[in-house]
Amino acid sequence: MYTKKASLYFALATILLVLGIFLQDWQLAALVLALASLFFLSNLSGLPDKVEVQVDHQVVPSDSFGDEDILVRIEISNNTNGPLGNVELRESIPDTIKLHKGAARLHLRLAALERLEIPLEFPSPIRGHYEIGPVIVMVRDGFGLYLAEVKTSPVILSIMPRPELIRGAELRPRHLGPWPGTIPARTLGQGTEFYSMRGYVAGDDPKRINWKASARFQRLIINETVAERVTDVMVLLDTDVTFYEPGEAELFERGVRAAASMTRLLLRQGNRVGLILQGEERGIVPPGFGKRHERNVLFLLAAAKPGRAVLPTSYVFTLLARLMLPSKAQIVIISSLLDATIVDGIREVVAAGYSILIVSPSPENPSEFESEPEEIAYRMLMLERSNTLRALEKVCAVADWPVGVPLSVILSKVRRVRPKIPA
Amino acid sequence: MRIHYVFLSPWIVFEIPSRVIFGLQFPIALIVSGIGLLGMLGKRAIVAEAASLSLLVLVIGGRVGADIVGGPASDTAVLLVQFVAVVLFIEASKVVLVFDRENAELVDKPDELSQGLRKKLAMWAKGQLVSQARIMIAALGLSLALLVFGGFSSVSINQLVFSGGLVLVAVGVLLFLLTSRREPERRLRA
Repeated sequence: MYTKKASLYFALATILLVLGIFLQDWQLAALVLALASLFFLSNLSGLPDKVEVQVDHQVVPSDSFGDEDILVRIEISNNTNGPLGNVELRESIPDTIKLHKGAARLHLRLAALERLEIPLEFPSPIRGHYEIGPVIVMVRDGFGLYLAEVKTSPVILSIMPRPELIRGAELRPRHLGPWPGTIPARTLGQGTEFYSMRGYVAGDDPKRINWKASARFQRLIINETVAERVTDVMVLLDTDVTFYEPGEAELFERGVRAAASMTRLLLRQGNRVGLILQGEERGIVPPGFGKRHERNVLFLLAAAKPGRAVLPTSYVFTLLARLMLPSKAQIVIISSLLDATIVDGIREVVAAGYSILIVSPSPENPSEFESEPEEIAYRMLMLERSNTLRALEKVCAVADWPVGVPLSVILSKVRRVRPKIPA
Repeated sequence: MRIHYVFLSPWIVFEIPSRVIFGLQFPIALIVSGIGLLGMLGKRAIVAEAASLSLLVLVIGGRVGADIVGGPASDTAVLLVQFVAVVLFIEASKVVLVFDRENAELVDKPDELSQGLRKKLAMWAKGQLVSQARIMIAALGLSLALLVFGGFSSVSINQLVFSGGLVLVAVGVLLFLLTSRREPERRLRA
């Protein structure tokens, strides 16, 4: 196809002709001969009639935890029976990514039937989704009067938060699934926690015989254990951390890491786990099992951005908990608790029988404030947060998570709370 | 290739009759050369394009001005060579600036891959300049040949209808030369 530049040269030729005729200056009109010759020669020998170029690009790896370099492999093949002298290759890469090998925009020549592999490399960017591509290959003649384009579809590079290895918290929801897991049920069954002893009957597993008790009672006694089952868990990440700008990013990233770590832990324990992102941008992954599901949750967490919530958090989770979870299941809320209105929602959900664990990353105290009113505002906000924490401790398990303390340590101290909800 | 404005602009400007540009040949040549040099050496494509465009305007405008003020007719071949040279250098300077821009991105990357791409880029630039020069020389030769051929026949009918018809035929031929076997541009947006 012909380009805008060709149209401009054509317009110039027309202007020269009109001027030449109008002024009766044949020297001026004769300049058109040069442009006509240029069009003729470019059309004849510049670009083959049919340009067959194949382009493909791959991002390796397409999802990462951000600790490795990312490689973009572009493959370009000239399937035309002639050389292509003016090939422009453009890979669309976000401005935040700086290539340390190769270039995103390049001009080159391709010999007939040549196949070229162009790798680009860059260090892993920060958590998020990045659109790599499309790759556009533009083949032109020497003067850029004619053009053939090939375009590939973009690829999404996902940099996910890396889940930390954490130990379990004491979750005791009243709803339990039928499959074996790690949450003690109120029935006898396969498990590790001692429940009672009884006399041996044929068919009992000999490994469960309590030899000391058997010696004392002069007959075979076996240990019975509390059944351990799985449950359904919904992890809610409150992305509204709007409170004090310098500390927001750190507070938010800690929340995202906690959500990723909790999700991995709960999924590896065999539970069905879902995720709700609540903030300016909302997202939901319905409860599910397995490694692929873990990937889906991490994929959603990769896209999480801090922002002021449009809908109140308590409204969102009371609604979604009832829609997506069986009654009396477990909800894990990861929130900095800077919005005191959350308390009413949690009371309502607890009253409905759900078991709630709140992990609250606490903001780091700023080393200095710009003004005295700013300091007073900050202290008032922290006081309000303390009040919220105290109010919530009465109805559910709350883990206040200060900076610098591993999440495992905080979770190991969490104990089950018997809710005291005023009538 | 980067200093062509220094030679090209005086050559074009001093060919224009003095009355057309009010005797300001020297300052105009100096300004155009300066802008062109600034664009090429400072690697600013838009500045270099402005200088190229002003050279094109000077070639055509000079001839139009000479017609209006009744200046002496210049040699047609010289005018044609000037015009072809300006078009060639407009295109060639773009190639050089693209090379500079892409080379600057690769030059600080010492890895084998980036250096390989630099070599490919250099080959592209060399190939482009050679191809453009070849086509432009051929176009000039063809134009001069057509001019000589046209000189054998003389058109003496000097009527508006005939002139208009001639323009239409010429535009039609140009359109055919430009669009034969080609379709309009449909850009794929990123």
